[in-house]
Amino acid sequence: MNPVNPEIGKWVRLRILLVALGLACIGLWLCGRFFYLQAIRGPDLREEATREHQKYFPILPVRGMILDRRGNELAISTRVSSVVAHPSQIKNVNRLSRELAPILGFKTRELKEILTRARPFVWVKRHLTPEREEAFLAWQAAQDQKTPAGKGGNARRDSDAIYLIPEARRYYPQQALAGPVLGFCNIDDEGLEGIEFQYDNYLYGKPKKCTKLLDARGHIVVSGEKVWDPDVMGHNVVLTLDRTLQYIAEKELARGIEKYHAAGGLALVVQPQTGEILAMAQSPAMDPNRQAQYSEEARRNRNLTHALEPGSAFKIFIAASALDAQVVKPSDKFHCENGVYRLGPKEVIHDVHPYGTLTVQQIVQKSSNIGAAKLANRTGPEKLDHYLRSFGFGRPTNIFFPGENAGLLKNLRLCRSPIDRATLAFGQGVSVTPLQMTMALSAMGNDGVLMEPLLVKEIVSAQGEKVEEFHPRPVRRVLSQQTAQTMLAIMETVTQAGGTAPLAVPEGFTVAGKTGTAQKLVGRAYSHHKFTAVFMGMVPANKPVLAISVFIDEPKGAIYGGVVAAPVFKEIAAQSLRVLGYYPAKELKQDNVPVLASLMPTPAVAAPAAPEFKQPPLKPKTSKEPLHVMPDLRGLTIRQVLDLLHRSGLHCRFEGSGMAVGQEPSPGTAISPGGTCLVKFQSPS
Amino acid sequence: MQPDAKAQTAAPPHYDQILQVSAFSLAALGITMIFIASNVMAQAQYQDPYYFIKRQVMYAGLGVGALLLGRRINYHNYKRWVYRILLIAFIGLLLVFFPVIGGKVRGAARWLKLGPLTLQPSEFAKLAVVLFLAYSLARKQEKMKYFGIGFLPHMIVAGVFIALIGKEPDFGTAVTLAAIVFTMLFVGGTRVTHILLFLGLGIALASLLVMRDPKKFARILSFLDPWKYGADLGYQLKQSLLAIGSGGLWGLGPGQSKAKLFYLPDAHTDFILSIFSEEMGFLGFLLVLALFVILISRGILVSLRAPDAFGSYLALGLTLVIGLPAAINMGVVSGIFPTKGLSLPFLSYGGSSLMANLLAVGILLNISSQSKHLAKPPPPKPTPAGEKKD
Repeated sequence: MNPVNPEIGKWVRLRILLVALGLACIGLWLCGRFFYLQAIRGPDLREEATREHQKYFPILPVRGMILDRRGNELAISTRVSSVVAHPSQIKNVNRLSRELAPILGFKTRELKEILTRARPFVWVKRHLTPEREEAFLAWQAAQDQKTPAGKGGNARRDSDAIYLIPEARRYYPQQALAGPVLGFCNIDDEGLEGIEFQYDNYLYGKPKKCTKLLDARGHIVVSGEKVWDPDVMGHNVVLTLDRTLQYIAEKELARGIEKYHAAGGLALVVQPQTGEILAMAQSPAMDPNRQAQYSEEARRNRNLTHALEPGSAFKIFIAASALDAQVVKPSDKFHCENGVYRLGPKEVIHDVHPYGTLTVQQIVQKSSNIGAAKLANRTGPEKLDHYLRSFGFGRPTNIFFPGENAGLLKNLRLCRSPIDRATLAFGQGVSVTPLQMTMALSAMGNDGVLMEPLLVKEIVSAQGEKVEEFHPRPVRRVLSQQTAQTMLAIMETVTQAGGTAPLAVPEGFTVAGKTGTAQKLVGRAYSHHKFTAVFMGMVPANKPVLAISVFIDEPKGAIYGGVVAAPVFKEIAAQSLRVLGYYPAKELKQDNVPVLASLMPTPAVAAPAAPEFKQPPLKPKTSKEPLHVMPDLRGLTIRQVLDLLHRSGLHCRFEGSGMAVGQEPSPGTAISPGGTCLVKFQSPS
Repeated sequence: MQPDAKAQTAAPPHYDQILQVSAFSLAALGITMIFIASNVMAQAQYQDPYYFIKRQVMYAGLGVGALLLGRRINYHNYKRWVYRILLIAFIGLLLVFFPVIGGKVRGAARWLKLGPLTLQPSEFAKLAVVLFLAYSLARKQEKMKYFGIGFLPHMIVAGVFIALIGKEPDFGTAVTLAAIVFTMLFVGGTRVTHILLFLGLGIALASLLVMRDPKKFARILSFLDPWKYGADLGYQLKQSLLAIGSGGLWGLGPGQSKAKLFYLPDAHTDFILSIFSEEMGFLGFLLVLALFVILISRGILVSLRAPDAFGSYLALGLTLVIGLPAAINMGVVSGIFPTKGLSLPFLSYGGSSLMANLLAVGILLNISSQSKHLAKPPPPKPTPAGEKKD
């Protein structure tokens, strides 16, 4: 080819080999270097790298649900986002505050104050609304656009030091239903009141730490975005309450209160055989979604935290004690002093209506104070004290609920004054909680055995395994079976013609009950204007399936338990029985048959498992100007929908979480209070 | 040695298959690695995880074309075109400073924008300088020992190119080119004293510049103790060492690199070997090293067997164009040499580099096809082959 250029010479060849040798040396050096780094220093370096790449994150626990006995959700946790920040990593606080203040709804100055706190971690804003969350995400995306993925460590952006973390937020889909029973939580999801407080250990869940891979910008790389990590979910608490019965009780109680312009009221529905509380209603009550707006009185579960004087309703326990102690027989006669009984120079007991001679049964039926006082006297303080304490008065019921009041029962053996012993017989000078009264009443319907009240049926883990089950627990036998039966018969006469509460009887059933009209204590004296109207009873009288007590506080217009409380009892009983599948025996449709046990209700076998009851149109007490047309809910948050529909009196079911995307009925449809509606939610992402 | 090549006999000229296969292996490995190392970053920066790999594959296609072209053209033809090629390379290096056509990225003017293509003239300028030196050394042969003939003219020509590249600035490429030039001059027969003198002068000047520029001085310091300066100056090196170390003997597994999650800057370019070592471990590194050693040893072999001096010098220069940056880059990522922007041939992301390197391999293949090793079997390949065969 090109003869001018011969091959390279020997020396050139040698120098090429020298170069090759040089390169080989470098190769060997590299080989050794990598071996040193990877094989010898490898484990150390890997550990150090892991320390840099991973970070421990707390996984916040998710509170378990509270369910009613049929599995309806009374309290649930929804997912919301909160903004957190690491103030020390923020370089330009002014710019960040200016940009984010409108997004998060702060004033620039406020936000700046938060972001300059000398703490490594701050909550900037808890529980963002979906709109704000969306706005924040948009802002983050804009930041990513502006300064794309940084280089290295010194390029960490301010916007990486402020970010969203998911949190759980408590939400009560049934709104005010059983609100004081459920209680509520603080913003950190710790129970503060009611079941939420008492079962906090079970509900709270287990916070967990996990390591997550971070990229150099501080972003979590593999965020296995499970909806909820089952490991951190708390247990579900299943109550003995029945949502439907609770609803009935609350509704009827509210109606009774409204009718007599009462200050408030309490109602309890209990299964006598098991002690399970099926409904626990009160007014005023609270919606735990907005608990801060309610008074302390509305937030407390007054059925067991509030002790009151029971009034005449207490006579049944005196009578039962006297009968069981066998100091009297039902047919024994007492002279009732024609309405005025002088115990001492200044100590006089009056009856509302003067009576001459009454049998034990009549004393209860007519509610004679003087008769009851004489019964108590006949029993004697020792036996009476024993019986009343057996009934559970003056001591807590062990319901396992925060703030239970034990009531007050003075030691009758030490009580010298005859008037004190006498007034106790008709429920003055003794304080009891509605729960104690109802449980004691239930003992008579349970063949004389007092049951422990049950509010929680079982505790179920998030995966559905039973964690704990609460079985009915008898406390003790208070009365003999015979006495219990006798008492039912006597109490049935109360609701017959000639008794104090014929209004208490739902059509087709019999009721064993007792009225009470207690003077309220105002200061240190009994008021002559303020009363508590009481009716407590069991249906059906011969074989009670429900024990119900109703307390109406300061009714106006009428004051007597038989007038004010008994109709409420009747409505609750009638509707609850139907829901539970007990129907009146049609062929025996005689009202107020005067003999016990002539009626036997037949439990309907084919009763629907989840009853859909049609409630009569009812204007809830709280609605000020009811909505008549279904509003357009789309785009609203759960909270907004709650507030809006609160005025409509609709019974709402909510599905999903986030923002409303669908509703039934559709916007513009005419609605009437008491109707139902369904709202579907979806999170914006 | 190449039985199948011999079997094909006369018609198609037989190329050094081992050289070709190792080059293609490296290029293929490079494309895979670039994807693995860049997808997260590309997703974040361009919302497209395939952003870099798409481009690299395109350049690889062009590069294969360049290889075929270089393999086809008789390398003796370059002797006639040497000054024209040198001129084109010179103009290319000048053009990067003109804003219209030159593209500035991160303050460095290294690129030319030609429609959809972005070229880095310095990569091709290296080939041009090597071509010129090979031509000149082969011509001067015996006169190389004279300072005025063997040293000064080459230094002036190469110096202009090195200065232009250094001005971009592309310090790494400039130093590499200088190293290539000195090595070729040494092989060509320049007196070692000249080289050492000049080298000493250069080192003195460089250290003066470094000392006066606090930024560069700090860089040297950080190189000496990357852990101490790990938060700022030594950050990149520290992350690189962490990545390599994390790999251990067996590696974290393909795709498992953590350093690529924005921890290691330039993960898909200069520091791609760190990611590779992290995922594939020491064994992976040995594989890469072995491929380079095969490539370089075959290149040296081509140089030794070339039919004439021009071919020998050209083959040596082209081998150095691939081998020196590879060696320096590996040293940089493992903390042997100070950090400087220098990519790893075939593996790092960069179209021009890949094309230039494949073109160099093409020319080497052409030289190999004309080798006269039938006459007398050359001495068996020495050092490098032995050491990596383990």
